[in-house]
Amino acid sequence: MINYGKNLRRYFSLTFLVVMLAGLVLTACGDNTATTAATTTAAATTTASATTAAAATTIAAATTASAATTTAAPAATTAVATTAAATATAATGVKPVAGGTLNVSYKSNFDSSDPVVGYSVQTWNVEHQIYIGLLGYDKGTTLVPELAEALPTVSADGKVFTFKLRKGLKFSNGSPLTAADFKYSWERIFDPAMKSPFPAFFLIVKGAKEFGDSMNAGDGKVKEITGIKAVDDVTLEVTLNDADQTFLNIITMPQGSPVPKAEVEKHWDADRKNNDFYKTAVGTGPFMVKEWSEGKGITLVKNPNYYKAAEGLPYLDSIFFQVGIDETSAILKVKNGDIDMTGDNIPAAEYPGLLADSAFSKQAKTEAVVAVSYVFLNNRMKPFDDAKVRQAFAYIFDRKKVLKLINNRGVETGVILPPAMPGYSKELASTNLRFDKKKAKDLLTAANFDFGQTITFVSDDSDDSKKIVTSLIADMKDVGIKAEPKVEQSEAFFKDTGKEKNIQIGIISWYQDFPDPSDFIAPILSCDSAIEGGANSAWYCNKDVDALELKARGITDPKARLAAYQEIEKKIMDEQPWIPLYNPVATLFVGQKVQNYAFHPVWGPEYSQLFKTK
Amino acid sequence: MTLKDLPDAKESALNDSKGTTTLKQLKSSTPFRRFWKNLTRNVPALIGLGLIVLVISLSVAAPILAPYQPDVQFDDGLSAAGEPVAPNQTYLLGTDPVGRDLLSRMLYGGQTSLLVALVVNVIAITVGTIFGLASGYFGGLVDTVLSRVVDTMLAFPAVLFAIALSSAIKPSVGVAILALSLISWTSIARVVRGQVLALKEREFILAARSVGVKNSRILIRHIIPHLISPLIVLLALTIPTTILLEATLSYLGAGVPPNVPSWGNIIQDGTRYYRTAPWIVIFPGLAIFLTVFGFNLFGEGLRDALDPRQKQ
Repeated sequence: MINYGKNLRRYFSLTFLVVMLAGLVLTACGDNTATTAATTTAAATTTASATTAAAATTIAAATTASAATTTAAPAATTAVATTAAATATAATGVKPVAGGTLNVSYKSNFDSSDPVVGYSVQTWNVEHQIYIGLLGYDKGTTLVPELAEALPTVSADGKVFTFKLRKGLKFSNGSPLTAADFKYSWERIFDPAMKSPFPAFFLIVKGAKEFGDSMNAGDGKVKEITGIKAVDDVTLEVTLNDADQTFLNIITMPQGSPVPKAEVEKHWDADRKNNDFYKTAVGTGPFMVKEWSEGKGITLVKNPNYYKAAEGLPYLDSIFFQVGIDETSAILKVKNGDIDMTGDNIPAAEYPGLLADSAFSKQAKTEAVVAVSYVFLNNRMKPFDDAKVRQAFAYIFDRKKVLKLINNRGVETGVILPPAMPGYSKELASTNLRFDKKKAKDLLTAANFDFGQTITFVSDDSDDSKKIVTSLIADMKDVGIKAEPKVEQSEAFFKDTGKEKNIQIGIISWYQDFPDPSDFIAPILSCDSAIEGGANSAWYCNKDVDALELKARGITDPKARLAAYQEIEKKIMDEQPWIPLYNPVATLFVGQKVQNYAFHPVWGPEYSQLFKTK
Repeated sequence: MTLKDLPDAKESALNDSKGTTTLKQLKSSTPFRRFWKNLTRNVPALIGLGLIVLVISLSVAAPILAPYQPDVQFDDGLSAAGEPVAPNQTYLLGTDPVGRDLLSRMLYGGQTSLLVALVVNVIAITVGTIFGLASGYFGGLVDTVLSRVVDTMLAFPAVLFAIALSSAIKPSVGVAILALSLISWTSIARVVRGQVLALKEREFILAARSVGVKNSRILIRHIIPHLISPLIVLLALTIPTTILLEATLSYLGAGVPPNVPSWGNIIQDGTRYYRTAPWIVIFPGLAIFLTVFGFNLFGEGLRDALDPRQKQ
């Protein structure tokens, strides 16, 4: 009796096993069926999406034209968009749809979006929506006035710049914006409590070094940066130590944007150590912060006081930069329409599939960025404090294999400057593409490298980074070097690269702040940047290089200037603080409702121009 | 109740009445014989045992069986677009996202997963038995203190605890074993304590005590032997739990370090590809499933076979 019951249970569990197995097999096969079904649907929708795409291009062309001339208000154009097909045939230009919320997904949290603090690519892009400065760029990288009325007048010696502000400028909270706000905002970069990575950029301003030193010492002897003068409410005069070609580029960066003193000072904590101004930031950009929540994301709403508000810009009512969505789910969510576009790159697991799928391939946008992805070797930690070891490591890594892991989304490189950056040398790039494992081993042996040690290879937690590190470690193993991977959350990883003796070796990318070669030297390979919280992840410091770079900045003849930068690059590469791997491209997945999408080589997606169809 | 309803009793009654119990029959009723007979008659348990033997021998023989080294990336292990290659003649179970042979990784991964499970359970059983024995046998304050320790450990969210531990210390196989052991011993301590509480009231223990046998001797000679069969059953049932837990932790990035192949790690590598390259998660998932299922079937069979009340 009892036995019978027990046997029944056993047989039940066996049956269960069979059912489960069958289920698994069916799932495996079922996947194929599902794919076929999906393809069929895709085929069915192809025609529709093709028309939509055609319509989208028309819209884009039309609005860009009107935006460029800035006189014709986009509202003036006619035609009501009910269906894409109708628009394509009936309209020459399409009225952008005002309103709506754009949902953008990110995997990782934002770091502080205070303009003088945030420096990651992800935060940078959002900062640009909240803060804008005197100058900006057109669709390419030509400087255009933003808050300034026109490009500044420059003195004969190239040292004094005079800016005239537009009339009637206001911060997003409605308070008036004057030249004095710029002076305050730029001096704020040197406040040691802000731990800003940007002082190095502003040291070229007269009196900035003295001010910074005094601020760091806390002696209060120097009260201001003498080189920045608010002549009157709308006139700002800046004097530099030497003529410097990069100054105008530097002030386009978010930290060059004005913030209102009254608002910032309210947000210090009791002992004036932390400032959470960024959570309720007041700025001058097309959008302003509504909610800034760790673990949830950032909600921006339209800034009614944006200087282009009269032109109807931005079109969107709000943007929600949602965090905590991993790259794969982000793709599914865009397909389903739950979110409008991905902020992160399309993951390698999804990219080939998206391109092959005619229903979605047009929504996978490949964008040129000016960037380099590289292995950094911490010059102040063993074993990479020895230049010979670093030089040997330059022969270890197989760049082609790395690129294949990310669906060949990039071009292999052996140098610092990306091809699109002025100063790029094709010759240097090709001679530096070293890959010879045998030679690496010989060089390491010659450098008395200790093959017994285990090296910790650190990366952020994106899928691509993890795969790349796996591949690089396999290369190291071939040479006989023991290494193990360590994965850190991306915020933690960026913080750790800014600590002096923390990470031996890791991978990271650098994206341009502005189109000038100095941006690939000063902020990441100079002694001034080898500071706690800085971006010099290799902790490389060579005074000769610094001196050469300072000189190069002042050279006005473009040819001589670029030649100087090539020499600097060669000098740095001889010491091999990095092993450049490839120049990446950005690949974003953009939903069908998003219109007038454009990607700026410095800022990323241009949200202020976007609009969403219903 | 009539004799008809109790076949065993009836049979023995018959034997008694005839008085012809042979030596052979006596032999067949030794505990081990009875256990073995019960076990071998239990088809699901045998299937379970078969699965366990299969998985263990495949893993142990990994260096011989694996067609490739587990961490070598192959040029043709990825398609031109960088996608993992589906199962084919060269790579029998396909390749993983970085172009390594999945079959080889699974065989070596089995080594890690099984080794971790085994070591963890040996540690957990040792620690758990000591705690359980002490608190059950001595009772009083010792019991109160030890039981509260066990309760505290049990109240901790196990996975969270393991994640905290491996993020505090650099992840390694050792840390994974430590974390898993720390969260596994408590349930064993509870079971042992319960058994000991029941045992120590039994006549033979009371008798031993009354003639002045020392505590240590009672524990070693009389109590521990009685614990062996429940512990064996428990081991067969906790090993699969540990295998699953190890896979969970590795999947969450808090178990075995990512460069060491383990089934959990392989699944973690493949999760992003579950739609485009499902084989990367299906095969190790299947391996975990079959191993755990095998252990469970066998454990159940063991329990039945070791149960003294059950005679055929």
